[in-house]
Amino acid sequence: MKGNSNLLHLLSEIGICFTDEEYSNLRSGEKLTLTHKNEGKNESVSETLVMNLLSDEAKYHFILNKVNNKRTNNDITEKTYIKCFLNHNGDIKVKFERPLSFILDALDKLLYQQPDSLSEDMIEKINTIVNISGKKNVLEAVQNLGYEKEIEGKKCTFKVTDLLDILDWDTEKLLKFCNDSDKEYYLGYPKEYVFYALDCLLDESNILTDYFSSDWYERFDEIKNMQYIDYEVVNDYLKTENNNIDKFQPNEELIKMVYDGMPFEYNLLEKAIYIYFKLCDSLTYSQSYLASNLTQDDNGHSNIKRLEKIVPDNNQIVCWEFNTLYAYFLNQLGIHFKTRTKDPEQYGKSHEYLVFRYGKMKVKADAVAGNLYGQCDINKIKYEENPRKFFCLNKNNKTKEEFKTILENVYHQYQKNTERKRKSEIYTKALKDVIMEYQNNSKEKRNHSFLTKLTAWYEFFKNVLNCDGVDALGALNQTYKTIFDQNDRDKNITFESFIEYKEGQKINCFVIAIALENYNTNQENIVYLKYDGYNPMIKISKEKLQQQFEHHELEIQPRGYGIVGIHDDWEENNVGKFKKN
Amino acid sequence: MLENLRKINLAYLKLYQTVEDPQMIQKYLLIQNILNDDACFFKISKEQAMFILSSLSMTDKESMYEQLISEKEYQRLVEKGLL
Repeated sequence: MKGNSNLLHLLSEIGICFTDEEYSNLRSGEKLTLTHKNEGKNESVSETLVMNLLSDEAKYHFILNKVNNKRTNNDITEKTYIKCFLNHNGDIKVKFERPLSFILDALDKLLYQQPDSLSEDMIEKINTIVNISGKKNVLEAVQNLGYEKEIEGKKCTFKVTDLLDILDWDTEKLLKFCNDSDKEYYLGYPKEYVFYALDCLLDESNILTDYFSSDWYERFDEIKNMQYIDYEVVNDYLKTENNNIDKFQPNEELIKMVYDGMPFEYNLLEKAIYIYFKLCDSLTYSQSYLASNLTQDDNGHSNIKRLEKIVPDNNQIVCWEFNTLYAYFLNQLGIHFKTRTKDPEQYGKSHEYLVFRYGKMKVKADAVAGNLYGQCDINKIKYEENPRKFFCLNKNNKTKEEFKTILENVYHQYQKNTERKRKSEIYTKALKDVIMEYQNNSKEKRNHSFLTKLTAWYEFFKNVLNCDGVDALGALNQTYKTIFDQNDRDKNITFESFIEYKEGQKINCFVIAIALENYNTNQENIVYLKYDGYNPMIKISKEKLQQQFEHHELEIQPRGYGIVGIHDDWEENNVGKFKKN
Repeated sequence: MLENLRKINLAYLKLYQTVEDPQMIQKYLLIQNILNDDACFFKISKEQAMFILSSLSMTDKESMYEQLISEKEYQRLVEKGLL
């Protein structure tokens, strides 16, 4: 028994010990919800635990000692944990541990939320801990401390109290400081360095976690999330992270094409944008790789040397090839970036995109992301639509806007330089009318007949569309959804993607079924069209289509659907499919 | 009823003009010519009438044909001097 009491005494030095009954109460009692500082997660601490700490002198003094020790040691870097043991009939086990910050936060919550449930003695105990661990004491503790950080290759030294002082500014003062473009420096360093240093200090220390500093925490949260000063790229992207750019040399013809027409006066960001547009415009997604459902690499897309043969006339690529080519050009410009992929060591195995830095801006470029039928930038640029996956990642809205303006200016200039006509000028009048009406009016107000829309749509593919391959199939997918409303799609027009075998190659093609009556109930006079993105959209007879399926010249995609009037199980397979469109 | 068939025929004609199918354009132009005559269904065979109704995706062809060549319709056309 004596051995056990010695052990308990020893344990009281390193943690808190609970009896069976106390431990059982901890588990069943109310919980105090705490916001986990730094990560914003919600955690909970048993209210019974906190009440127990306040009513049990030994446990209270253990916590008080921990707080005092931190105070006297000026310890702001080590996070402190409280170990909790269970004494079950003399068998002692470690049950859990909680950060000291949780305990302090819970004490604070208890005092604020339920003062009536606390005795005078308990309130005094909380106040004692608050006085030792409060903000004023933190500042005293750190008043002579310096904080050194290497920022953008330069050693910078700050007084800790100068950095913490920022946390006492109200929003108005903070905004005024951040928006004052005349003052680029503070404490002798660029403003973003100072904010970056503050972020690092708070991340590396326990100032926000082990002390009572909830107003500081809120202010820091605002600084970090709002990024009034863009410091999120500071010390990042100082070098390029990509294993592949040195392993190939792009074809001279491609290089010439990319730089052709680029305005001499462009800055690096503008050049990077221009090159992105050029690559999106001239490269296209691999038909055969798409037809294999992104599984069979018959054309050697995972061989990096293939990139050396990519020229405007041999322009079929997949995502990692686009990314590696773009990475090559960014590297040539001297822009630092990081390639994002599942396994950077393995080329050609998984999706790739990159993020590059230009000054304070962090830009994501992911040209081949999303639905390959018209939704990725590699399609969008060809349709003269704004890119979707080339954007500024910064949290600061002002910076985002700044980036958007630059992007739009370069895009405008790019269209002008490539002597493209604006979409509004090249659309046929009929299609323009239909699209305008659809953009401006609600569904009920649309009054173009199905045939008018069909004519406009067909005209577009015959005379207007200025791309081919997957991009053209994407255009069909996009315009289909824009022009035909749900009613048309439910009754009069539908299409499905199939695999076509042509000259030993697999490609994707669309079969479109058109019915003037409801195709669900009457399949007698359905008109079929076939479109592969290369050849003109052609009418094909039902018999010819059936023959092609029988001879396996055409095949249903894996997990794909058949087409109305041809495949018996069409209706069964398509239940609800087009409702979703 | 005949007016409705003319409208449907016109829609088919436009559809095939859109998708540029000369054979089908000829077919629906021919049907258009036939339908221009108010009394056409009294002048063609039942097989020919069924072919037209089928080409216009009519579902209940038999009963429709009955109505198109009914006694009442015959009287109406005679009174108008079309038969």
